[in-house]
Amino acid sequence: MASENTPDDLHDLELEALAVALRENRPEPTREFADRLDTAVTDHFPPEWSENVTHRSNTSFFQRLKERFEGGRQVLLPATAGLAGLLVVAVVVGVGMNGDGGTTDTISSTSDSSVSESTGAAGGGSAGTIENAAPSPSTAAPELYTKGNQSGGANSQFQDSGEQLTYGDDAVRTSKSPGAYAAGVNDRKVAQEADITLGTDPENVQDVSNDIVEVVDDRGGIVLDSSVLDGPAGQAGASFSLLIPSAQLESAVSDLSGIADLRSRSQETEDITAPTLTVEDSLRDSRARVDSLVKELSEATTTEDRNRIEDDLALERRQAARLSTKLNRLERRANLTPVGVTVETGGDTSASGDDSSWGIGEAIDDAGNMLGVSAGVALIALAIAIPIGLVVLIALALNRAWVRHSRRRALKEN
Amino acid sequence: MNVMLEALPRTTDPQIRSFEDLYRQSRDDVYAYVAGLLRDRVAAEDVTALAFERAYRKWEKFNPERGTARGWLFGIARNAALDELRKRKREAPLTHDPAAAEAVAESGEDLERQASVARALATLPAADRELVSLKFYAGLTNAEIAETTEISPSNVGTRIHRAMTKLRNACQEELTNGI
Repeated sequence: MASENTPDDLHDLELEALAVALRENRPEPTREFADRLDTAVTDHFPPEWSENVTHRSNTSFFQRLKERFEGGRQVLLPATAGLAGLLVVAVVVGVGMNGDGGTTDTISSTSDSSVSESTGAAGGGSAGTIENAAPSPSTAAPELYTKGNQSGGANSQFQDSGEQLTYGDDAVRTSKSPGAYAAGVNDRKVAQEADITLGTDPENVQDVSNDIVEVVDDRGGIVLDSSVLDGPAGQAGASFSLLIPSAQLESAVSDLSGIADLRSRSQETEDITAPTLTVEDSLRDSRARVDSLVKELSEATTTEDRNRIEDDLALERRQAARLSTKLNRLERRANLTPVGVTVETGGDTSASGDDSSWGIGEAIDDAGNMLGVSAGVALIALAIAIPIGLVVLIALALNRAWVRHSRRRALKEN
Repeated sequence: MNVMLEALPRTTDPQIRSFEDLYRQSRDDVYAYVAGLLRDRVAAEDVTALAFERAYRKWEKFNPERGTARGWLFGIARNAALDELRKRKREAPLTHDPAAAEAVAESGEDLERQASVARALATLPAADRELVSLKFYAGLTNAEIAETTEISPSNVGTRIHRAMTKLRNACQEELTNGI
């Protein structure tokens, strides 16, 4: 039989015998170890088992960490979903807040309306109250106003015919068009004045001031007076008294309003056509009287007549000079508009004091603000947590790769 | 394929419905495999216990669609055994091998041959010793070995045959040296 086997058959027979020997020589666990392990399985590997078994000391930190991590995988999905939901909310709120862009507009329009009310109350319909309603320009260009309104007999007509208008933010734009207000009048003389309050941070006061001066220069205006004060929020600020060519007023006010956060803006308009015409007529009459007196003087024959005429002539010339000055002032008042600009820092006090009611709209606004703040905090937390999480994940992945490599190497080297 | 390369007949129920079923079917097989690979009885006990504890903790996450329960368990045991190898840096021989001891004690010719086989196995590289242990100590099928070691199933048979040839040569050297 043996002589019939080929070398391959012999080889296979040897290997088969080797396999039998291996199976018969298989290592078996000791009874003691088997019983101990049986008990552990029956007791579901109690904690004291883990503490007593020596292999615990052989388990690496990363393996224990990994086991704990895998043990918590059941909560991983809901936690991830929650995190993703939070991220979506944060992004949506963030985009919503950025896309809104109307916060400043809303504030400014609110303060505009309140300022419109306050200036309306200060107006009252007589030209004299204009001075009270224009504190900043009155300090800068007092002659244009006070003297113009206190100039004697013609002033009564001037005040009676003077028309004061107070406009809010929107009304400013419409009133500037020479439509309904100046309808039917070819050469209306209109005196205007404006007040603007801007808000900014203390460190930006100087920049805002520079921008204001730049706008004035661009519009051909004059800075009559200015003061800039440094300090903390609430104390730092600036004030400007400006004269802007009336033809440039609308664009100048628009530019000035855009320099910083617009807190309030008021503009008053007064029709001075009637007083101007009155002064013009009076001046024309006065000059005619002067001419007449000059003619009389040339025809006077007696010394007494000559002296009397010369006295009248001197009086009339002074009157003509006064009227001429008055007319010049009125024309300057129509051509140059005083603009007061105040730069404030700190909170917007003009808007906070008036509105004490709190309703659904405010509640929604507050809720939106709270949501925005929460989303911001969440975004910041995510911005911190995500890189840390990525680093941890990369570390775990590297450790896993390293362990696999080490195991393969251990298998090769042993 | 050679008959001797077939796995040991499975006497246990292949339906493993619980961890206890898996444990009962695999305890001695896992131990035999780990002991064959590490050649250290104490370390084999530690690694076997660790493997079953890890398997118990992960049992609920075991997915039968991704492989057999035994293949999964032996993968855990393999990682634990390789970690032990990695930690030790160098192998220590089996401090107590009952089969070899019995062989010496009875001093029969067949038993002497078994002892020389055990010594020859110790001279094989760990990778070959692992395959031999998985096949003939633990009784895994080639598919289960492939699943455990991440070797392609078609390669498993070839590599086992190569390892057995090396073992046979080592046995012959043992016998020659013994004489």
